Amino acid sequence: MPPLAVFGAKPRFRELLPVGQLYWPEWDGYEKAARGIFSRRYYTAQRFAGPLVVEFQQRLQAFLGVKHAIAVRNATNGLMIAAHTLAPRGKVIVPSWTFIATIQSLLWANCRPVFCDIEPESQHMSLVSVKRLLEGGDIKGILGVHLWGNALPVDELEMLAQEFGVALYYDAAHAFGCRVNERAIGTFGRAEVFSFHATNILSTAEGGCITTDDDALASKLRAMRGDHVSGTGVAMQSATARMSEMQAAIGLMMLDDFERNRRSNEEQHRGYEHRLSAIPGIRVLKHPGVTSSNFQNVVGVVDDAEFGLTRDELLAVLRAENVAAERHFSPSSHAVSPFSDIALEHGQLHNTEAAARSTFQLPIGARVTTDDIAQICDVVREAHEHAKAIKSALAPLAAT
Amino acid sequence: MSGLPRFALFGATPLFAEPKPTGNLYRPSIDKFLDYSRVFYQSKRYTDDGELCRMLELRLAEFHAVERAVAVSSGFWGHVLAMAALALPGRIEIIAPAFGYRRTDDMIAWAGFVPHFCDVDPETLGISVATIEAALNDRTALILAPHPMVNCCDARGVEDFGREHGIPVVFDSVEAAYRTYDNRRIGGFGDAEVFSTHSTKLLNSFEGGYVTTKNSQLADRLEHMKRFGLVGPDTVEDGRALNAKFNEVHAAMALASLDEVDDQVAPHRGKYDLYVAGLRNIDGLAIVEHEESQRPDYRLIVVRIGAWWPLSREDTLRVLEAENVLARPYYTPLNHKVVDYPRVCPELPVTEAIFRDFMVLPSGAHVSEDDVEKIIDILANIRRHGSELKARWKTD
Repeated sequence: MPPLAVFGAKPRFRELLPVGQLYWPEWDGYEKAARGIFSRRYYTAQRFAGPLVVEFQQRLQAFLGVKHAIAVRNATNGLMIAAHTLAPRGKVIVPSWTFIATIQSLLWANCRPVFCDIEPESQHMSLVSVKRLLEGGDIKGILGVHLWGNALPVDELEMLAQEFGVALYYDAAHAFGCRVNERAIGTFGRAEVFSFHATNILSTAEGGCITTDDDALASKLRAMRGDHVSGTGVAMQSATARMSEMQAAIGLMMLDDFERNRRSNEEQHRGYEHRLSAIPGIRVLKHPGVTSSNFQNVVGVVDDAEFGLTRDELLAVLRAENVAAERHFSPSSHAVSPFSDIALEHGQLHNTEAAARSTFQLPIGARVTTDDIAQICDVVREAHEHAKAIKSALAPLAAT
Repeated sequence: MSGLPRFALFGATPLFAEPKPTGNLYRPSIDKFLDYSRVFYQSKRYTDDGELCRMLELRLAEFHAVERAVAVSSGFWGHVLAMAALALPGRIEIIAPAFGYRRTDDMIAWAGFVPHFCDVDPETLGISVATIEAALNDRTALILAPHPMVNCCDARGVEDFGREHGIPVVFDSVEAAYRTYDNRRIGGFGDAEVFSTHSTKLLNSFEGGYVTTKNSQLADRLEHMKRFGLVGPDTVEDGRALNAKFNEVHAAMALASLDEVDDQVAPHRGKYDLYVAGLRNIDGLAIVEHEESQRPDYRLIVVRIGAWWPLSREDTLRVLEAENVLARPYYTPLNHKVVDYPRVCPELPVTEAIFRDFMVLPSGAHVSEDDVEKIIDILANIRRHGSELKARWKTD
C-alpha cells in the first residue's frame, strides 16, 4: 500500500491547502494605506466616491482599455445591477455550468434564466445551444460566463446577439487580465463583471467591478451602486454596492503585483499540466479561447473508466491528504431549487451533467509551492495506480 | 443692507474650509484596527466567515443582549435577506413608512415585494400601531418598522401588533443601535432588527451591516443566504441567496469601533448639549430632544423648523451648504419619488403636513464643539437677518 491518508497514513499536508489564489499585499503597504485613510477620514463613498476608489477605477480602465470601470462591493451585486439594467424582467440565456451566483443574480433582478448547454472540451457555453434557444424566441439577454482563465468565443456571440437583437453581457469573474488578440476581457459585450473575491487573481477580499464603454449605461450603473445622484427624474432601483476605500487600497496594490502573480500562476499551471498529463484518465483544461490567460484555476476532468476512480473518489483521496480540492459547481445550477423548477427538455444539458460528474479544481496561487504541486500530482498518480484498493477502502464510507 | 453679516452664499469665504457632515465618520484607534488586521495576515483568510467576522457576530450579539447577530455586507442587503426569509408566503405587500430611509422602497423591490406606505405618528416621527393598522390587509407579508433618527418608535406596541396578527416584524434600527426601549436593548425586538456599520453610523466598518434576532433558526438561514446558500464547502441547498458577506478587513474595523463604542457617548452628548442651549435662544428652531430613558447616543441632531423661522428649509440648507455646513433634510417622503416599479401610496396626511419642517445638522466624531458654536452663530444670523437675506436673494 502507498502511504496515502485514505489508507490511514499521515496526511501529506499538515494544514488544509485551499484552492483559491489568496494573493494579498505586504503588511507595510496595508498599514500605510490604512494610515492614509484614517488621516483623510474618507472611509467610503460619502457624497462622492472616495479618492482611492476613483484611482482604482482609473487604473482598471487604463489596464483593461475600457471607458468605465465601476467598482462594486462584490461581483454578485455587480451582476444583479447589470441584469436589472440590461434585461429587466426578461428571459436571459445563461449556462447552468457556472457558479450559482451567476444564476442568483438573475433571480434578484426578476429575470428568468434559460439554461444552455456547454461544449465538452472547453466547458464553455455552446454556441449551437445558445442559437437554438434564441430561435425559440422571447429572449432579452445573453449572460456569457468566461470560465477559469479562458474566454468564450466573443466574436461569434456578438454576432448572435446582434442577429437576434438581445443584450449580451458577461460574467468575467475568472477572467481578470485575460486577453483575446490583445483585447482585454472587460471590453466585450454591453458590460462585463469581474470578481475581486480573494479566490481570484486580483483580490480586494470581497469586491468586483463592472466595465462598459457605454456612457449612459455607466451612469445608470453608478446610480444603482448607491452613489449620490444629483437632480430629480425617475430614480433607479438603487442598491448599496459601493466599494470601500480600504478595499480599493488593496486592489491598487494587487494591481501592482498582477504581472508577478500571473507569471507565478502560469508556472504553477505548467507544473500541473506537465505532471498530470502523464496520468491516464486525467485531462487538464487549457485556454484556447485567449491569447493570454491569468492561469488562475487548475481544472481537471476525470475519465472514470480510464482513471479507475470517479471524480468524487479522487476528491476523497485528496481531501484526506488535506488538499481542499473542490467540485466547484456542485450541484449544477439547474439542479438547485428554485431553478430546478424550470422545465428542461430531455438531454438539453447533457454535457453540463457530464461535466458536473467529472470536473475538479486543484490549489493554485499564493499558498502553493512547486513542491506542493509535485506532492498533489503524486497523490493523483498513486490514486490511479491503487484505484482498486481505494475503491474498497472507500466503499464502507460511501455506504454510510 | 450694510448690516448683513458675511454669508458665503453671497461670495464671502465659507465659514468652514472643510465640509462638516451629519454622518459620524468615527475614527477608531488605528493601532486597534491594525492589531485586528494581523489576525488575517496570520491566518491568510480574508473573507468567507473568517475568524474576525465570527468574533464580531458574537460581540454584536452581546452588545445587543440578543441570541444572534449575522454580519452582512450592508444594512440594505441585511433587510433584503430578512424580508426574503421572513415574509409570509403568498403575500406581496410590505408595510413601511414613506417618511424614512431613502432606499427603503428600493430594498423592498429587490426583495421581490411591493411597498405599502404608511403614515407616521406626529410625536415620535415613527410608525405606530394606528398607522400600521391603516395599511394592513390580506396581502400584508411583513411590517418594516424603522426607528426614527432620534428616539424609538413604539417598538413594544408594534411587536405586539405583529404577534397578534401573525405578521412578521423587522425593525430598521440603523440609527438606534445604542438605545433601549422599555428597558430592553434594541436588537431583540420583533422577528429581526437590521443595523448598518457604514462609516456614517455609530459603528464604523467602512461599509457593512448586521441583523440581530432571538431566533437561531433564522440566524442560521441568514448565514447561508448571505453566502450563496452554501451549506458546505461546495454544496448549495437554496438558490434564493446572494453574496452579502462581511469581509475580514471590514470586520477588523468594526471590532476596533465596537471596542470604543461607549467612549463616543460623552463627546456626542457635549455637542448635543451645546445645540440644545444654543437653539433655545433662536426663535423658530426647536431641537428634537433625545429621550434619556432610552439610552441615547446623542449622535444625531434633528431640528424642527417652526413658523417663526424666516426661510424655507431648502433655502436654509442652501445658506448652510455655502458655508460648508452639510445639513440635510430629515427624510424626503418616498411617495414623492418617481420610480418604475409598483408601490401602494395612500394619502399620508401627517407626513405631508410635517415633512418640510425637519432638518439634520452636522454632528458626529468629525465635528467639534467649536464647530457647533459656529453653526449656531450662522443659524442666529439667519434668524436675525432673514428678511434682508431674502431681499438680497431676490435682487441677485
